[in-house]
Amino acid sequence: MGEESGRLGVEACRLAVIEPVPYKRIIARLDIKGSNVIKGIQMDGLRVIGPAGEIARRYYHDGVDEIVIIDTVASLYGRDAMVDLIKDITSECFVPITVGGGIRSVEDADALFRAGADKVAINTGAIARPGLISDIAQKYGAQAVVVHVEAKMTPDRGWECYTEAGREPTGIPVDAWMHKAQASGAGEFLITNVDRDGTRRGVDRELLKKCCSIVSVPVVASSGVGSVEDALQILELANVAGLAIGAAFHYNNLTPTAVREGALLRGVPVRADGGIYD
Amino acid sequence: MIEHVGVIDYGAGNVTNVSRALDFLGVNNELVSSPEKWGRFSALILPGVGSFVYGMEELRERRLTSAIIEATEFGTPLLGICLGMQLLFDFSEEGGGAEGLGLIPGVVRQLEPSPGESEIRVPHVGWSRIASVATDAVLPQGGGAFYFSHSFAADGVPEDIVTSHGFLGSRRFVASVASKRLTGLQFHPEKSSHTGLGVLKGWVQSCR
Repeated sequence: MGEESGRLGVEACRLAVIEPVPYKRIIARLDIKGSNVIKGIQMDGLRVIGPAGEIARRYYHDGVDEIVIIDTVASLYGRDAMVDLIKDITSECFVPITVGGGIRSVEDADALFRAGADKVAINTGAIARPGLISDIAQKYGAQAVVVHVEAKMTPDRGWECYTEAGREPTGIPVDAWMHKAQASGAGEFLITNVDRDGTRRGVDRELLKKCCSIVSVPVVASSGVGSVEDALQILELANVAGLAIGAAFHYNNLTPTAVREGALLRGVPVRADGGIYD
Repeated sequence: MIEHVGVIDYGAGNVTNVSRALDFLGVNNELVSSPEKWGRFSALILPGVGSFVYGMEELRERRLTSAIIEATEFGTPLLGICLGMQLLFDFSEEGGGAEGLGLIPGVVRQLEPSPGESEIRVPHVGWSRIASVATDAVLPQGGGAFYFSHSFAADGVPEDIVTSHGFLGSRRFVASVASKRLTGLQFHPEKSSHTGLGVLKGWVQSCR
């Protein structure tokens, strides 16, 4: 090891392997209606998968690095159900929890943080008022604010931002929005590919590469993973910070452990001690 | 003394996750936000997320600083987590400089990547590995991966109380300390899955 000089500025440390810091994250994504996980294909028709608390625990015990919960209905009624769900999940799942869906004000975010969320994900609310990003970031820190970009490719407009769980076009290009959101204090981005979400048909690396080149804060990919190979294709991309998987986990096409083992074998830097072995 | 851990609630970050982790481990605990009757606590946890300056101001406003110092002088074990660990030191350079509780020697400074490693970003947020320098009852032997979320880290800490290092590229920083009955963890054990719960459990057991 290096000499201990007592000053961070001049400390040298010779390591055999300098790992990228931090590890890339394998994330479980739960799209929620009420207290259930649901999944739709391209937002067309929803299928109830099961109780969210139970599903979150399953993924936690299989070693996910984080859990993202998105309320797809985002009604006032849903707010209490979400708070209860967060309290339930955080009573037994001790990994970072990101919560999104219908957050329109700092007060909405306050309720979720009080319940136990570590980060909030905002889309519609932020596009309506980008100041929401800086307001929440000032109070809780930029790393607590995730901007959720729902991107859809349109022939004449390129990658366009959508809102309302991928239903409403905004006419705003993804790159312009991501620049603005980062400047407003977003600590992280979650990228949903509206066309591939829920399909398990494979991922779109080009969208991800584009998004990673626009901003300097972490970018987490979501949408389209159907196999471990799909997952590795994204995790291998140099600047992707993590991958959120929904449908493929919910339909049991693959497990968090399988993704982690595949990543380790492929030399992708993920944490090694994932599962609960006792 | 009946085991009863006080989790200090001073308005700096979400203390309920720490309390829930203790609940899960079956450790009797209580959120405490006033300085009265701390004699009932067998051990204390000082959590915290966010600004050092804000954290110290909140502690002072709630008259908690002397309660903390007196409890530690009395011999009550204290665990500082993230900002809570940083507050245990003498001083922080954050926000123009602020004094800490002065319970552990050291200065909290901004984390900076090594020259030539500009792609490594601060704040340091996410899962990273630590290397333990000493085998003790609290940390897993050799190290492990934990969840971090910070922009500052302790510096100038006597070697004999540093119990692990974290890494920001090739830059090494202090990830945990232990001095007499004081323990500090820069990472979040309550967010580090079973590995983190194991560290919390190890700390609780070391207090007995």
